[in-house]
Amino acid sequence: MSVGLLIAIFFNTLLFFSILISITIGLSLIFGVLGILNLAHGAFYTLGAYVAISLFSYFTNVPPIIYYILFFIASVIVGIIGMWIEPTLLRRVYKLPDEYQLLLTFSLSLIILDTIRYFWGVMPYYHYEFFAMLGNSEIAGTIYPNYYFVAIATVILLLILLYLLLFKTKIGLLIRAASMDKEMAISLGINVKALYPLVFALGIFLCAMGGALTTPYSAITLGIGSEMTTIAFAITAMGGLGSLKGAILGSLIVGFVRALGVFYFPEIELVVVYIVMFIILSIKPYGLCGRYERRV
Amino acid sequence: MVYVVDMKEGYNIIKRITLIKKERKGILYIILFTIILAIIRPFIGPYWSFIVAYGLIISIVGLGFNLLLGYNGLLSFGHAGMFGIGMYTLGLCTKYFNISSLEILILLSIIIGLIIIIGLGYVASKLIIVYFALFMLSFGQIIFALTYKLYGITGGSDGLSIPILTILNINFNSRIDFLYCYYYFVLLIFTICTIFMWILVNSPFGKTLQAIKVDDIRATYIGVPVRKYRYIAFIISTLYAVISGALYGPLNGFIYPELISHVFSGEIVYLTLLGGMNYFAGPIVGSFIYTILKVYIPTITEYWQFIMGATLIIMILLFPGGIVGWIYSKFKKR
Amino acid sequence: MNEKEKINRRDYLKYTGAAIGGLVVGGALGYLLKPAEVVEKTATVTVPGVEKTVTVTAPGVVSTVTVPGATVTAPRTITIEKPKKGIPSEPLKIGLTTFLTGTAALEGTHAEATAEILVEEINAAGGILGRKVELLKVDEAIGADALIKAVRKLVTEDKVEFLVGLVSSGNGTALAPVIENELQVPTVYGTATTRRLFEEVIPKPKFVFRTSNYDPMECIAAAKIVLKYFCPGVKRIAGINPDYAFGRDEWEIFSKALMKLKPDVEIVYEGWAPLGTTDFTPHISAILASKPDLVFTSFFAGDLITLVKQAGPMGLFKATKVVASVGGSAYSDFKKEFFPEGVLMGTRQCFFTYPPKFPPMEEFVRKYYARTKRYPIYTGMGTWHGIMAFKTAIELGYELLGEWPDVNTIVKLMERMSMITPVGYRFIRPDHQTVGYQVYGITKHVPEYDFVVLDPMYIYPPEEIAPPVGVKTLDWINTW
Repeated sequence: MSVGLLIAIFFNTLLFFSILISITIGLSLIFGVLGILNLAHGAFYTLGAYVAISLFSYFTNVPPIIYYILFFIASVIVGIIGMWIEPTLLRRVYKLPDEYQLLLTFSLSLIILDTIRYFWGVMPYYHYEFFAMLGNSEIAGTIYPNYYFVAIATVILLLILLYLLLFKTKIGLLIRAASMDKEMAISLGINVKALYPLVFALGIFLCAMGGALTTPYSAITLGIGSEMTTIAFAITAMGGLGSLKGAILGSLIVGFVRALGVFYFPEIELVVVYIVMFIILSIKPYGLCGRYERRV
Repeated sequence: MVYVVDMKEGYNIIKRITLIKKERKGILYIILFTIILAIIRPFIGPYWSFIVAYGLIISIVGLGFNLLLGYNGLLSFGHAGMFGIGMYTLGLCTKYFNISSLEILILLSIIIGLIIIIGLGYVASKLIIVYFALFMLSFGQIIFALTYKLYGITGGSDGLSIPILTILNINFNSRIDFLYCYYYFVLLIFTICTIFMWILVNSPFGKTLQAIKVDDIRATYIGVPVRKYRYIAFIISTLYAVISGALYGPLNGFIYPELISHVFSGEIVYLTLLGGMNYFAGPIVGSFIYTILKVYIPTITEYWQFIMGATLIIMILLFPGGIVGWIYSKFKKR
Repeated sequence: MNEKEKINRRDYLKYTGAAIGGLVVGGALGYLLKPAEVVEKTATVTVPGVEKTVTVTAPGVVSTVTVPGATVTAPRTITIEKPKKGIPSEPLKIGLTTFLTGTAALEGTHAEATAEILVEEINAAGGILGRKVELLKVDEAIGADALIKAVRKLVTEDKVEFLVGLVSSGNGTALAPVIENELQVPTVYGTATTRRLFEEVIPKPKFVFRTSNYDPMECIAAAKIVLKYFCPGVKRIAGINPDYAFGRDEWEIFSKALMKLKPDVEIVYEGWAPLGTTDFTPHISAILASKPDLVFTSFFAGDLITLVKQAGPMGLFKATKVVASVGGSAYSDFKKEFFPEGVLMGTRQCFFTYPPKFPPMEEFVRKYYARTKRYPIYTGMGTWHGIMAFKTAIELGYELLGEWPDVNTIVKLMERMSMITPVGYRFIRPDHQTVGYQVYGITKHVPEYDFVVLDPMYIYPPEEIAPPVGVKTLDWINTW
C-alpha cells in the first residue's frame, strides 16, 4: 500500500463526498424545513450541469476565474427556478398525505428531464477546456488533476458559508427553528411560509452546484441525475432525515467506502451504497442521527 | 427490545378474516370480470392476449403493493426486488434443474420467496414512512446488483431466456399455443389472488390495518399489536410480488435484471396512484392502463416521460383519488 | 332518488341499449354482406433489365405474363391481392433498432443515418422488385424488455418483414430467441458483437445473421498486434471494461488470447463500470496504482470520451500503453484536444479511409459526410450490409423462383452470400456470422482533421483471427 495510493484514496473520497454532500445537504435542508422529500433533486442536479455547460460554451479562451464564476451563475439560475416552483406547485400538496408529495416531486423530475431533453437534445455534452487549463500536480508519485482540488475546496467553502448562515445569522436561526418545530415557530410569529421558497431555493442551489461541478470532467447526459437521486436519498436516510450532521456523516461514509471499494473490489461499486444503507437501517430504524418525526 | 412472536395471538389474527354479507358482493364482481376476460380471449388475437396477460400479472403486484400503501400507509420502493426474486427463482430453476412444469416452478418461487420474506419482514416491520421506503429500495437494489453481478449464474444484464413450459404436463408446440393456455392460467391465479385480497382487506384484519395507517400510536393504545399486523401485511404484499414475478417469466420468454431496479419500483408506485390508491380496484385499473401506455406512447412521442409526469401532476392536483376515484365520484354525484 | 329521475334513467338505458344493439346488428350484417372488393390494379414488375406493366381487374384472377429478357422466356404468374405468390403491392416495411439516445447514441445514430441513405437510394431506383421500402425505427435505449415488446409489435401488428440494426450485445442476445422461436423474420444484427450469440444463445440460427466482425476477431487481432508491434514486452495488463455481456466478452477473449500467446503475462487490475458511467476517476487511480504495461478497454462512444478525458490529465497515457478495442465508435468526436496519439484503436471493419482508394467506400463517405457532417462507422456498415444482403436475396430468389421468395428461401439465400460493400469484400458464413478484414490503427494527430486518425494501420484477414465455423472461441484459443 503505497503512499501514492493512500493519497489517491483520500482525495477521491473527498471528491465523492463533495458531490454527494452538495446534493444531500440540500435534500436534508428541504426536508427539515418544508417536510418534503424532493424526488426531483436529481433532476435539478442534471439541470445545473446542463446550464453550466451551456454557459461554458459561450465563453472560450477566458481565464479560469471566469469559469469559476460561471459555476455560481448556473447554480443561481437553477436556484431561482426552484424558488419559483415552490409556491406554484409544491404548496398545493402540503395538505395531502406524504405519498402525494413524493409523487408530485417524482413527476416534477420527469417533466424537468424531458424539458432538458427538448432543449438540449439527447447527445452527451463535453467541455474540456477548464479541466485542461488547470493542469495537474504530482503528489508522492501520483498525478492528480488540479481541478479536483478546486471542486473540493469550493464545496467545503460552501459548507462553511452554510454553517455561518444557519448558526450565526438571524435568518439561520429562523430556519433552524422552523425545522425543529414548525408549529411552535408559527405560533411565535415567524413567517414560516415566507421562508419556504428561500430554503427550497437554497437546497436547489447547492444541488445544482454539485451538478455544475461535475461538468469539466464528466460526460453530461440525461441519466446522471437518477442514480444520484437514489444515492442521495440513501445517504439522507442513513444519516437521518432532516439532520445536516447526518448528511455530512453519511456522505463521508459513502464517499470513503466507494473510493476504497473500487480499489479492492471493483465489482462492488454498484451495490456498496445500498448494502451500507440496508445494514444501517436494520440496526437504527431512524438513521444514524435521525429523530423520530411525529407528523401531525 | 426483543419482540417475541406470540403464536396464540397470530392465530387470533388469522381467525379474524371473515366477511360480512354486504361485502361478499365484491367477490361476484371479481368473478364477473374474470369470466369476461376468459370469454374474449379467442377474439383478441395473440398480441392483445399478451397485453391482457401482462396487465393481469402487473395487477397482482399492484394489489400487493397497495396493501401496504393504501391500506397501511407504507410506501415501498422495493417491490421490484421481490418481483425479481420470483422471476429469477423460476428462471434459475428452469435453467439449472431442468424443471419445466409450471406449477412446480411457481410453487418453488413461493417457497423460496417466503423464506426471504419472513426474515426481511421481521426487520422491515420496524420501519415507517421514508425509512421503510428506502429500506425496501436498498433491498431492491441489492437484489438488482446481485442478479447483475453474478452474471455467471444469472446471465447478468443479458438476462435469461425462459423456454416453453408445461402446464398440467401438456407440452406445447409453439409459443402461441402456450400463450393461449397460459392466459387462462394467469387469469386463474389473478382471480384467486384478487378474491383473497378482497376478503383480506374487508375483514376485521384489513380494517385494523387501516386503523394503523391513520394513527399507529393510537392503535397501539387500544391494544392492537401493530408490528405484528405490519409483519403479516408485509408478508402477503411481498408474496404477491413474488408470484407476479414468477408469472412474468414464462409470458415474456425472457427475464433480465433491469426489471428489478428502482425504475420499475417507481412505475409500480405510479400505476397504483394512477388507478387510485384508496380503492381496491385502483391497482388493477392502473396496471392495465400502464401496460397499454407503455406499449403505445413510446411510438407516438419521444417525450413520454413528460407525459407521465404531467399526467401524474394533474392527477394529484385534481384527482387525488386516481382514475377509479374519479369514476366513483361521477357515479355518486348523479 | 325520486320517481321522475328513476323513470328517466330507465328510459335512458333503454334507448342506449337499443342504439348499441342496432349498431351491433347493423355492423354484423354490413360485414357479412359486403361484396368482395373489385379493384383495378396495376403491377409493375422489375426484372433485371426489363420493365413490363400488367393490368389486373379482379381479385384472385391469375394473369399470365411473358417477360422477355431472361435467357429463357419463362411464363410467370402474377396474382394480386393474395401475397402468397407474386409480388405484394404494399410497401416493404423494414424495422431498424439502434441507439437513438444516451451515450451510445454517438455510435448508434450512424446506423440510422446509413439506413436512411440506403433506403432512399433503393426507393429512388424503384424499391425492391417494385415495392417501396419503409423504415420503422425503434430506440434500443429503452432496454431489452421494452425492445422485445416493441419488436413484437413491429412484426405482428405493423407487418415488418425484415429487422436490422441491433447495436447492443445485451439486446441482441435477449431478442435472438424471440426471433428464432416466435417471430421468425429475417434479422440482421449490424453490430451486437458478442460471441455468445451464436456460440451459446442460438447455436443453430435460422433467421438471425450478423454482418459485423465479432468480439473474437477484434480481441484476438488486438492481442496479436500488441505482441507484434505495439507492446511486445508486455507483462502486466489491466482492464477497464463495461459491465455487461459485451465488455466481459472482450476482456475475457483478449486476456486469454494474450496469455496463451505469451504465458508470462499477468492481470494486475480488472475494472468494471456500468455503461454510462460518468466518473472513472477511482478506476483510473486504481489502474495507475497497479502499474500495468498495457491497459485494455472496450468502452466505446460517449463513455470512451469520458474515460479518455478523465484519464489524460491523470497521466494514464504517459504511464502506460492503451488499447481501445472499439475506438472506432465515433471518429469526429474524438477531437485532437483530448485524445492523445499512440493509442491502439480498433475500428472493426470500417475506417473512413479504409479500404484506401476503394471507389464504393469513397463514394459512400462523400454522400454520408454531405448529409450528416460525420464519417460513417461500423454500425452503419453493418446495417448497410444487412439491408443489401436482404435485397439481394429477394432479387435472387425472384429470379430463381419467379415469385416473391418466402422467408425460408430468403434466409437460405443469405447464407454463404458474398458481397462487395463499401468496406471491402465480406462473406456471410454458413453459421450466419460475417467475416472480413479487421482494422486496427495507432492514433495520430494530423493537420487535415480535427479528430484523431489512424496511422499506421494493421489489417488482419479473418483466417488469422476468427474461429472456424463450428468451433467455439475459447476452445479455439486453447488449441494454439
